[in-house]
Amino acid sequence: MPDDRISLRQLLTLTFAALLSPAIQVLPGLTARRAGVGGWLATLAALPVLLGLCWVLCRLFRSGLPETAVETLGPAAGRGLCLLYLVWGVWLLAANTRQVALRFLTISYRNSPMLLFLLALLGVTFWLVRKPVRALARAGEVFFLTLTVGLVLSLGLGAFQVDLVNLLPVWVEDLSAIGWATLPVLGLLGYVVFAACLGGNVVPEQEGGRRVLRWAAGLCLTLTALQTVCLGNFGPGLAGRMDTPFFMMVKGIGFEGTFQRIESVIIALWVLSDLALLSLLACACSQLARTAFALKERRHAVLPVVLAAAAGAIWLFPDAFALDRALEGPVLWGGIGMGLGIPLLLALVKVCTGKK
Amino acid sequence: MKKTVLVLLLLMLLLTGCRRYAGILPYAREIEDMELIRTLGVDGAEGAGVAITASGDRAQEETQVVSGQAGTISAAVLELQGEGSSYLYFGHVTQLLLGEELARRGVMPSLNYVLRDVEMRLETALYLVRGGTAGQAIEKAAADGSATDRLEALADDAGLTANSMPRTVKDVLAELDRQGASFVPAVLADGGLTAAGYGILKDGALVGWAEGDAALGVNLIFGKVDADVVEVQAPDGAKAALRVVGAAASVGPVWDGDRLTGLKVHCEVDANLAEGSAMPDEATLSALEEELARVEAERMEAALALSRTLDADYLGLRASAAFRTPWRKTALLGSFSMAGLKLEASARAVIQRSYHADG
Repeated sequence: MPDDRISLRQLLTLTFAALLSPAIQVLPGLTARRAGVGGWLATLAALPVLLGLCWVLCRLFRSGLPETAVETLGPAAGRGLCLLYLVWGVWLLAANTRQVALRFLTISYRNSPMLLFLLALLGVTFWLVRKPVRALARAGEVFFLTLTVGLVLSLGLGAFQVDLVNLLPVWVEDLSAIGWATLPVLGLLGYVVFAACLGGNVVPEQEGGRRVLRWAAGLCLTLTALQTVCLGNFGPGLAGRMDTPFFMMVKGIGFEGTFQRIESVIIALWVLSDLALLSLLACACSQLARTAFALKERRHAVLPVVLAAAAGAIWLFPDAFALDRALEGPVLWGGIGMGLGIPLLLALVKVCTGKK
Repeated sequence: MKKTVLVLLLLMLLLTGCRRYAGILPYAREIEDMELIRTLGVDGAEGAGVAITASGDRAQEETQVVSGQAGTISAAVLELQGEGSSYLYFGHVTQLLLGEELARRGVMPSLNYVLRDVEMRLETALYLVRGGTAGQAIEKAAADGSATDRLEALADDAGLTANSMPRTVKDVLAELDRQGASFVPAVLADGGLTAAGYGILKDGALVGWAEGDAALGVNLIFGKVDADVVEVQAPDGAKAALRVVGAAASVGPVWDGDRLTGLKVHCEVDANLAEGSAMPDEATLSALEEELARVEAERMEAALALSRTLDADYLGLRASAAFRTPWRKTALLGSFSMAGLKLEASARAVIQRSYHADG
């Protein structure tokens, strides 16, 4: 695919923008419930695992996860694994689309059916993904830049309202709870594996490994800042009871007397992160489908993937409570297994069998 | 291409708002058809129900007050909507008043409503109405201005009076989660919404009041003193007025082995000589400082006595102490109880300067 190459930087910026969408759902609510005031340290504690995962993905999955699976396990088992990831990816796409549509619905103060939002999201996702990957990557750069501005502004203003008593004291006895709190963070980082599915489109770089490790450290520090400000604003008890502590924090900031409703802008900006996530998942799923079903071109798989996700989003989750349970349970545990466990096993097999 | 453009144009018809009741897009609301609610009052009503009173924006010529009653806050708010001619918008509510009877029953349903409602904000200032209902307070304030104006003035002057401070729903919810107790500024249900100390919440319900010296002590412990005036007697018998311009308190734990036996609160107080001898000698200055320290320590003692009597850590003393000794955090934060703890207060005052008209 010589005409559909992207740079590593583009893939990383798209992934970063995409991860911000589930990050605000998971953090710091789930970490605070497990580790209390020490919850903000969970993302830092997860840094070594993310660095290890990135190193493995970067060194051993240069041709992309689907190609590597086929090379390492052989055509049949490799395609089987791709199929497994495809099902997982479509399920995640369905769950996240429903979650984002539900958020749009809540924000628009209306109890009407969410079908419009759901179909609009998947429609835009389809439009972004059916084009060459480089178009999505370019869009990802714009999304990343816009989201970074919004995130820096909201965290900067939110930092003025941090109460240290909500973050400290943290002592040795909290370490086990902090370790336990890294599980949701690792589940969140499981989405990174879908970026690895696009590895085959990335132009190889000599300094690629270092760039990926720097990106991983930057991601963990950003998520730590997000957790620190949100947790410092509300404390672990209150943050644990909220659906999206970040948006609740943003509701309380603004420029007194001039621009007090900054949350409208930030919540609107987050749609870009939602789109980045859905597009990354849909793009990765179409790449997996191409390998699993030996399709000629990736774009042939885009429509079936999006339609399957639409069907899943409409029928798989009977209500918002079931969706929340899914996102806080199977999605996180599955993220650890599929995002960290299987890639590491695959890397192990690849190293043991001596395949380059 | 033409077909695509045509389909897109047709889809855009949905965005015009012409088919308002098509059930697809959110309602469009004109700002002139909306009444911005600024102050919301919640009281207990018959049969464990709630009564809601809301007053509008001060920008309007006459403050409109509406009220409704139902089993839950959501239902009562819906009832309010039917009362006025405009759509009531609660996204600009800046003050929430809770009546005493409702607060004794429990504040959590009201605070959780603020937490969960999409329009309301956790930064909403919270007040308790002492000896009355929130409805009475809002109605009386509306007779000459509005409750919003009065409460905003009260919040602005809090540092000057040193016996009140604004607290938000977020502060109170976070403290109830963290230490099982909190405090909320109280007002009287008179036309001026006069400050009346603090209501002390424990396990989500009102259990007592901090008034007089205890309320002043609360402000000292939280360092919320901007310009309080303390009258003391100089050694020569003359009265001196000391303007307290700053206070910084620290909390230290007292241990008997591994057992927590008490907590010591120490406050460093900064003051200026407002009235009295313009150039006091060192002995006089020292005596004034000692006298001021004694008065301030007594105020803090009064606040601490309430904590012990009500067995409520409403001042967050355990959490403050855990900051200084994080290696003992389990012992300090493992319980909310203040029973059996010896609570002591001390203060050191420094008089920095006097006031002269010529600077």
